[in-house]
Amino acid sequence: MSPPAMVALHDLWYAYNGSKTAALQGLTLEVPAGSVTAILGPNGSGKTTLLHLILGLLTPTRGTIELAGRPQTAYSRRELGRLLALVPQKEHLTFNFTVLEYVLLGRAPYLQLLETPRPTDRQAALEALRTVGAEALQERGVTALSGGEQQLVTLARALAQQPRLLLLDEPTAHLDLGNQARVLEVMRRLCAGGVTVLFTTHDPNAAAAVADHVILMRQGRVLAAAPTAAALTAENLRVTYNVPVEVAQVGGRLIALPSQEAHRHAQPDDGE
Amino acid sequence: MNGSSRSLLWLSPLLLLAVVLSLFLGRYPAPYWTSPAMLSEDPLARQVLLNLRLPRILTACLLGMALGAGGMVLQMLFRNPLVEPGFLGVSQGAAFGAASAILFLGGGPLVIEAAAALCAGLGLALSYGLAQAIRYGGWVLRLVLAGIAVSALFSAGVGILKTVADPLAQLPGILFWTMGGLWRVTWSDLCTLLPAVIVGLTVVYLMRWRLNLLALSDETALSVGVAVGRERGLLLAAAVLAVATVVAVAGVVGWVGLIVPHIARRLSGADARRALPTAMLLGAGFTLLCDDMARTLVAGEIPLGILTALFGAVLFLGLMISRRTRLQR
Repeated sequence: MSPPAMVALHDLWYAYNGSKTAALQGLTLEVPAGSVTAILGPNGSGKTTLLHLILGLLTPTRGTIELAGRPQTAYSRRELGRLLALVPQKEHLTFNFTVLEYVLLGRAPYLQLLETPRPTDRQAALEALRTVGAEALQERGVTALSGGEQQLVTLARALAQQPRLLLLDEPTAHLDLGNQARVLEVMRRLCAGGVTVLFTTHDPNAAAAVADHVILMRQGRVLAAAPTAAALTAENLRVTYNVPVEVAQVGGRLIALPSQEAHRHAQPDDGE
Repeated sequence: MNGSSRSLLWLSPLLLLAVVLSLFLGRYPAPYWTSPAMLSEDPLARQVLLNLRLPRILTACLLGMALGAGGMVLQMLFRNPLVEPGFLGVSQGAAFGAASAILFLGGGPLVIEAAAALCAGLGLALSYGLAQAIRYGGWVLRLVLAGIAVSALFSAGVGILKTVADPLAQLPGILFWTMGGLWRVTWSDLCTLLPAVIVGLTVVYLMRWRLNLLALSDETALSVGVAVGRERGLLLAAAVLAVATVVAVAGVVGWVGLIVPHIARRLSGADARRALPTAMLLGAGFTLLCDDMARTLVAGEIPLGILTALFGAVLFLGLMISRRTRLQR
């Protein structure tokens, strides 16, 4: 018996205004609660669109989204802010808040319209900074942080929401190896603490490193959704990226690389 | 209490001191200083101080508060530190609305105020809509470009109204709008503008922490549970109401809304919980000082808008140049 789903999508369609082909074409899948799930796919496969639909930033053209067993449309905006949090690909910050002031913004779903953060919110923000190991940064200005520091701080802001579902859009895309490992380790730790983690990535190895489940997407459709070892096969990855891929085991972990003959097999990536 | 909250503590008494000193600054009975003893000795001096200077000083403070807060709100909502009410068609729109009211609607004070507020909102909406349609540059640049164009359109409109206005009955009223000034302010003007300004500023002040949230990207603001469209609309309406109302009495007074939020952030940090009240106090102080000079320096009256532009532009350049040295901080 599999655990109950945190996210359940049924026949989900989405088309951007003015676009001829739908960005998402009839997605039906479940994200198990308490797991780390990676959404893997090439550029333009609909990964970010899917996150934005779950978030409620976009409204599906057709189909339904259920979150923790309730239709997404039944939640208020504030309730959604307490249920799920987003770490966007890049947080654009114009004003130089201190790290603590910025992380405190994650407490918004717990505050009324005219309320300002209370001491308990400050505690929650500091706790979130501790969880990602960035409490030493609390007095620094957010615009002066390095890429890795900024990603950890953004993660802390999302954690200050105390979400049950954490969405991350390309969390490791702009990070060096050390910071990638740090962010992935925090994701793993959050999951152990009961948070369901759903993230998008271009990188099969990031998925292999932390994910329990992998969803492979291409051109708005799901190619495979399965436990990591079953999903990350050479054949699945070849179809996903339209290039030959070799999968190997290194120290008990899966590593995926474009195969040596990739250039000889290369053909224009026109999808189906 | 950290260093950044301290600036609020010393700014309030400083403003109060400036208000009291301003009362004794002027050109009656002799230039520059009216001795406090005159208050009991000279009935005319008492009249000048209490019925001419005091309402004018209080209006200058309100004007500065509204412009400082309005600038802060626009900068944060549009995530653009280079905008102010005068750059987004708000002030010029208000001037155009007021000039139209003078010309076509009889020119009663409430009619002027309403027309100014309406056209100020229209100016902002136009600037915002155009910025989204412009196909050149990033968001910061597009908003500035759209604002310049809309402001120029309204200025041209005021120019046309000037040529058809009655040179004796209507033109002076319109001319005054384009340069701004407080020499005509009476207690009754102050009482007319007070309710709208207080409502606008109170809403902005109470929602100041939300400003921080709305300064995030829409994607992030939404994900932390903010009803982005509704809250942004509410804050914009409140800020435009306050700014349009003071502009309806004082005319176009530029640059306050641009530089005051910058200085406030330098003093108090970016968090609007402190930066907004700091900007309100600083705006009041800056406008009051400029108005003191406007009425004291020479025998005639220097238009307030010219002085704020002079000092505002110099301060702005100073800030922009010194900013480079602080980037590493």
